Amino acid sequence: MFKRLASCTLMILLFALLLAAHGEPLLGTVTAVGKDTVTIKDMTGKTVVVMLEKNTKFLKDKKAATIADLKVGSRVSIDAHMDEKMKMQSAEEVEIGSAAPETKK
Amino acid sequence: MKTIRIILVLLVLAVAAAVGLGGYVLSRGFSARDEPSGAEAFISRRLRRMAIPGKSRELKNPVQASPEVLSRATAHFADHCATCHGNDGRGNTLMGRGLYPKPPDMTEPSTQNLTDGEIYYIIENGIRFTGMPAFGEEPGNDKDPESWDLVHFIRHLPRMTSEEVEQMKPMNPKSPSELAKEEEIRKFLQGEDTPPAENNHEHHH
Repeated sequence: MFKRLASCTLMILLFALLLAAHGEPLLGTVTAVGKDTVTIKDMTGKTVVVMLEKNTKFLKDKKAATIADLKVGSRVSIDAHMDEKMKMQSAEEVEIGSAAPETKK
Repeated sequence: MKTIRIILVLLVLAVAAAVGLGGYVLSRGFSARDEPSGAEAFISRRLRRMAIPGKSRELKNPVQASPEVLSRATAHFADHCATCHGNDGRGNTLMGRGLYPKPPDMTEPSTQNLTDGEIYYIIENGIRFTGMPAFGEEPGNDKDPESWDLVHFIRHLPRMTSEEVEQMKPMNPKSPSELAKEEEIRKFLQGEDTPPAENNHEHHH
C-alpha cells in the first residue's frame, strides 16, 4: 500500500515538474534587455530573468523579428523551458507585443 | 518421398520463422515508442511501393500549381494533417512522436522521391498498420482536387520558410481552452488589458 502511494506521489511530482519545465508561456513586461538575457516583470509582479539562446526565435506581429525589437516596456509572451544546468528559464520563442513600449510615468 | 521431404523442410522453416517473429515481437513488446528496425522500414517501404497500382503511380497532377492552390493546400494541411505531420512536415509533434511507425520527415527524399501519383494514392487510401488514415471519400477516385492540392504542398515542404510555418499556426485545430489562452495572450500583447504587474506598480505610487 505504502509503495503504491509513494510511487503515485512520485509520478504526480514528476508530472508537475514536466509541466513546470515546459508549461504555459511567460507573459510580462520587459524591464531590461541584456546581451543574452531578458528580464521581465510577470503577471504576478515577479521579476523573471530568461536566457536568450542562439536559436531563440523572435516574432513581432507574427513576423520574424530580432533582439533589437525587444525594448524596455514591451509586452512579451515567452515560450521557455527550464535549463537544468543553468537553473534558469531558457527562451525558445519570444513574441513581442505590438503595443508601444510602456514608459514609466 | 522427395516431395514429403521438401514439405517437411518448408514446414520446419515456416515454424522457425513464426517462432523467430514471435520472439522478436515479444522481446520488443507492443510499445509504440520504438523506431522500426532498419530491415522493417526497408521491407515496409518496398511493400508499400509494390502495393500501389502502376496506374496510380503514373498519375500526373491535374491541378496546376499556383499561389492560390498553395494557399488553399496550406490551410487544408494545417487543419487536417499537421497534428501528426507538423506544419513543416517533419513529424515532430506530440502525436507524431507517439506513433509507430513515426510519420516520415516529408522534406526528405524518402517522400520527395515518390511520384505525384504515389503521394496522391497514399493521401486517398492511407497506409495500413500505420497512423495514416484514408482521406479519400470515394475508392478509386483519381480526381480529388483537395488531395492533388496537397501533393503540391508536400512538394513545397523542403522550401518552407519559418515565416510560412508560423503563419500556419492559427490554422491548426485548437481546443476551447487553447483558444481562450491564445486570446488572453493576444489581448495582453496588443495592450488591450492591463497586466496585474502594472496594477501593482500603480498601487505603490
